[in-house]
Amino acid sequence: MTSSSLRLRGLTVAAVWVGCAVQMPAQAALGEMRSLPAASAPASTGAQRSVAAMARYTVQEDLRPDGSRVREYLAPDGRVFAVSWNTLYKPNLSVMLGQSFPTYATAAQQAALRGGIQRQFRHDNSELVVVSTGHLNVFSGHAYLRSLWPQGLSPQALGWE
Amino acid sequence: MRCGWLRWGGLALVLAMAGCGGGGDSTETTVSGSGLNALGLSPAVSLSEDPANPTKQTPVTTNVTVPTTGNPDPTDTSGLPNTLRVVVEDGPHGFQFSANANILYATVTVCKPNTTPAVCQEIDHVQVDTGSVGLRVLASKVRSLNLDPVLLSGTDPTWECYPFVIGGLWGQTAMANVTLGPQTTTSPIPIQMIEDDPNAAIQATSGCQTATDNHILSSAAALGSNGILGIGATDIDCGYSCIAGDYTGTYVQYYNCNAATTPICSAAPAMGANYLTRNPVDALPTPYNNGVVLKMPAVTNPGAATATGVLILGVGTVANNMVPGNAQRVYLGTDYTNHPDSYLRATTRFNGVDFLDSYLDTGTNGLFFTDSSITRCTANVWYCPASVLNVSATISDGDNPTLNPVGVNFQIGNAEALFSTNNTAFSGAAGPTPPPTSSAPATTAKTFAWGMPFFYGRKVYLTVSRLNTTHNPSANTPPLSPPPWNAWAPL
Repeated sequence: MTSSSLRLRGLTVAAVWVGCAVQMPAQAALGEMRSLPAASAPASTGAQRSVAAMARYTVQEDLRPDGSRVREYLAPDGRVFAVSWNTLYKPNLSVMLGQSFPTYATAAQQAALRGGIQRQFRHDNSELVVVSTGHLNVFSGHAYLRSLWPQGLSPQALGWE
Repeated sequence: MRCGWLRWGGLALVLAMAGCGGGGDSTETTVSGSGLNALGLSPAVSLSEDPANPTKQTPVTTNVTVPTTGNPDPTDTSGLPNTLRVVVEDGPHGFQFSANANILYATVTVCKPNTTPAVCQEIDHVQVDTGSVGLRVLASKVRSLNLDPVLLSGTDPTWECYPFVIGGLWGQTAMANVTLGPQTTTSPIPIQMIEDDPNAAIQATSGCQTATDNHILSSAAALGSNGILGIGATDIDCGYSCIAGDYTGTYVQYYNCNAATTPICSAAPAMGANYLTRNPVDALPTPYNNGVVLKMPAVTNPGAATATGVLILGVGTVANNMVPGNAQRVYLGTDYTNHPDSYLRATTRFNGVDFLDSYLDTGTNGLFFTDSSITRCTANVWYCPASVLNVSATISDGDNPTLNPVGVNFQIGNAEALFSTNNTAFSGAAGPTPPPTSSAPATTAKTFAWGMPFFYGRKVYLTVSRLNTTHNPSANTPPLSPPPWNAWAPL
């Protein structure tokens, strides 16, 4: 596609990436660098596509065959400063969080001591924030690194509360 | 700075938190909406460290039951073909009062198919959970039945990894007849046997360990129950990915395992819907298979020792499950493409904020939503207002929140005071969804979870829909039929 729009909580943003003949890289994890994909990538099932580009960040969305979606939020230099997910099973956070995963895993294990069914989780430290929820096998959440957060960008602009 | 205390079975543990007791960066990990809960409470703090300000109240030992005299719906008493007793009480796991809060239990019978007379096992204290799908019981409870495995043609027996947001379940699936009250599934269905033998030859895969945060719930103590009766809004517990055998980007949900092979477990190939762990309600005979009505007695602050209610099978099909004229109804979201946050959810508006991820859930033991104006308890997991708050919210449809708005009044009690009693049923137990710290950028979930407190003093109608197993997400075909909805009315 050469242009697409995505309605993010009342804010419609347009993709403006055009014609860059860059080979699409594999998914990058939180905190890692990623080169920007060609905008002509089809928005077909399983494809990665550029769904939004603004001055401060770009959103890469991975639409899975089951309709699940995982998004990466890229700073202008291509570094992934945030990820978010809407999935129909628990997403593979070890891939999405990358080098931040051990921090998450330690916190999650601690939370798990509580036992029983758990449908809400938040980890929040000076660098890593992870918000994760799930109900009826339908999961959603987001994670970001504070040090990489673009100055002046509000979480609300990403559709987060 | 917040220091978290964990009170678990009378044992106070300090959550290892960086910076606890000092200034500087805050590190906070919080959970809500779950299980065993006195955990995360702070009575251990307020009682042991601040004796000058005790919060413990006189224990209340009232047991409450759905009224039978003057019952506006006298037909749903025992002896009918579609009712079973459910109760909020202490759990099976050896803890005493106050370890549990708002956990709803039923007794479920599991039988080996094709046996005459039927070879069965009755299992008590199975948690009734409208937020998951499928019966999952400790394997040790049904081991003697020698249930047949779920076998895809040409493969090894099927095992399932069922993660929650934190923690999860692992175990083999098996074919069983399931009896809820007077009704039994019309044919055998797959259930999950939660592996609770640490010496079993087939243990959780490394993928499942990661998916469950290295915390497989494998005992009554960890579960707070002998199993989970998942009777949520869908017929099966997985859709396209399991049916297609395509786990791209996610952890594997279904495996085929054989202790004699290497690796022992590998991802299951495409599976027919009949091989997936099934909602037992969906497999009951007509007209008891399209949902449930949960009828719980009213509970007032500071709670009740136990609360006994009735689970009625079927919705709108026979006299005792008809939706009354004064019921309020909302439709759950089904448009995953355009409103993923609302899929199988309703919307709640509270204090001017829309919570798109909102649901009625017996598997959540409080009302969980974030509102910065409400005082939190010391451990930050629950709300602790100085006096009981009488507030209201509006629940409406999932995909289109402007439709079917319904006002709901509720109370927020002081959780420390509530949990200092010997009660297990609390109408005023509420807390924040894991809240943000003050440092920017601060974000929270869009979640408003109406857990067990919502159900007290109401008849709540919850439908079960069938997933369209040939659903092509990109073709935008209806994923569920009929459209799922929830309704409720006063007792």
